[in-house]
Amino acid sequence: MECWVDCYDGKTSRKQQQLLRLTDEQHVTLVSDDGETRYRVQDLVVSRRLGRTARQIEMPDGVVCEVSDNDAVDRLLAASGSPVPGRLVDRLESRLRYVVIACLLTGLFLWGAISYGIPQMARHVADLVPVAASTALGDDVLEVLDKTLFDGSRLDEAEKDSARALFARMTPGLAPGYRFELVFRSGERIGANAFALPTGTIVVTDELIKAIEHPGELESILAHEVGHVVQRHSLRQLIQGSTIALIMMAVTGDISAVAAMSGALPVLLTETYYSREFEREADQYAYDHLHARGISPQHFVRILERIAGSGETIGFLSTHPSVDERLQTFSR
Amino acid sequence: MAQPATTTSTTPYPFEFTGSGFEYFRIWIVNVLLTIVTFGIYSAWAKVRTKRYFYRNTHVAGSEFEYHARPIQILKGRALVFGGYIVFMLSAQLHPWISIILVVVFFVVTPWLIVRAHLFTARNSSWRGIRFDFNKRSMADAFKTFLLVPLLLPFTLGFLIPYFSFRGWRFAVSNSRLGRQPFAFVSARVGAYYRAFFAMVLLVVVIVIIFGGLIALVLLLFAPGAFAAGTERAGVGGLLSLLPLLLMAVLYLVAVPGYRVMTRNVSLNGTALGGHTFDSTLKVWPVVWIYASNAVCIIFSVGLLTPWARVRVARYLANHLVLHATGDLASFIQAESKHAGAFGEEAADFMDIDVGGI
Repeated sequence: MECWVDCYDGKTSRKQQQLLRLTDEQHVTLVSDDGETRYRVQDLVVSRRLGRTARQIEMPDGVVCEVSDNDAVDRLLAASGSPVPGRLVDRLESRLRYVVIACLLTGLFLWGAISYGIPQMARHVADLVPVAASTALGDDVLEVLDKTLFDGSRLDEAEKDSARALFARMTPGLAPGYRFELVFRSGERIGANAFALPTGTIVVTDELIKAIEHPGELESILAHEVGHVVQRHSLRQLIQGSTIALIMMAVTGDISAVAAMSGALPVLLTETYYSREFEREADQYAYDHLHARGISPQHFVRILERIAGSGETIGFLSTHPSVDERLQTFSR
Repeated sequence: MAQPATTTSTTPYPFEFTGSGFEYFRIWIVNVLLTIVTFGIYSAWAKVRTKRYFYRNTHVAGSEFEYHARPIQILKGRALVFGGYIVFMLSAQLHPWISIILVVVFFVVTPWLIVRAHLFTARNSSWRGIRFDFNKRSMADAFKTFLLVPLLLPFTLGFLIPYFSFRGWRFAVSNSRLGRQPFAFVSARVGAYYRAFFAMVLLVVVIVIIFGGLIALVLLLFAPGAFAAGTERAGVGGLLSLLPLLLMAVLYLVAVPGYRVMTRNVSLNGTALGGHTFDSTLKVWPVVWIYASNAVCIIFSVGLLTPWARVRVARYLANHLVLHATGDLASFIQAESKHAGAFGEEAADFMDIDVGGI
């Protein structure tokens, strides 16, 4: 067996066509104008096969050959009993059926990681983080929101006091370390709403308080928000979000700032998915709380129906499950 | 018949990229899968395979490039960087001051990392069996270019950006060698970088004015009352709030790639390798189109078209670069072999430090 190869002497960039000949099973010979050089096959450093690109063979004396006939190189190595480097990976890459399997497996792994692995991991990591560190996450949030979103509450003190009294009856016996506190703000753009900061501060809007017709309704909303706090949803969202970002980095790599933006959509989709999962968890928490107190879960259904925004949101872009779905949870 | 070469005649050797999107896709998907199932360990092998794919498929004057880094070096570099990151995250939890100090330290060591990254890449790259190299004594230049100039950027309202680009390219080019032959940054003047910068600033201003004018026109035609005092301003506000979004889109989709294309042309056209010169003829609008359409394709293919997009960019870049050789290309001489650790390269990679190129 013999073939023409491009040769470089390793000392200059002069290119020479030489004949690479298999002399016997253990030896090859390079034939040039200047003469012949014999090498042992086991002394050659052969680069790994990679697509259709030419292989590089480094001789022990520094001479470098480029051989485009990849099968010939593999046969040469196999005949001398030398290991063929990178054969397994090349097989995976060059057979279409393995590529299809790789696609499916990658999809499966990503799906498993997103829907099960990452949330579980985040739950365990969050358990390791002390509550004090978690509450530090939310320290300045209210300040920022006050500057951008909210106005001061216009409720009278009697309304605030009755809500506070109700909240005070709920908090004893909850996980220690949080500073549970109920604050009131005028909702402005966000309307009738409530949300929780990781510190344990729960913000309710004037509009929400006005919409309440029964104390059980307020209690169900507050229980939902307490559920967010004690289940560490902010911290877990942070952990899950950064893990997803890392995975995206590994998958798409970096090709340009524009392509980086294209990674934003899948990240947004998974983050809203995680957000909906957290809402479901908080709903479940509220349901259990109401059940334990002997309050009808129907109160949560009624207040949700009353404050549900008229605007339809697209399911997979929404941060909350649809009201219908949430109502079903509570109507069981 | 070959003419005897005179001292002034040059031979053009166009660069060529021979990779294909589907071939690279198969390599890429196997890389992704193996990286996931090995919890990231295979990523070092994946990086070498990817780099080699693009090097081996880039040809000039009948010879391709080769990338020689060993995956295990890269894995060590990555492990060090990752360990450092964990230490940083943990110590930042202890006291906010520690994290501030560490960020300052990172900023100060960035020039060193950039030199190490160039060193690693250059020493592991070869053409016709001749290794590239990078000047180790470039540290002073690196500190001025990547520490002093960036420190001045905020105080000069960005007007130092072209000078920064000029210094960055000069640093990368003039400190590189092929064997014993240094590259020279000969004819690129800083004025050309400013021309590219202001051309893009002008472009952004013109586009925003045109679209702003169109919005105003639409309002005048369909909601003539909008500009009258005391009327409902919501519609106007809604449309006007589109302007910052438009500005961002123009900036990221047109101005930034456009500026990079123009400065790359200026820099490569001003680069010499001994008596040989380069001719880079990238065009702004085709590159803008390639990047924008790549982004759309990647989004709508859930990332599956990423390899195709990368090949497309590599092919365009290669097809618009020509080496003009004076005399023959056989006289590059190998320097003594040297090694370099991968830490700097991996750290620069991790922190997304831009080590040249578009």
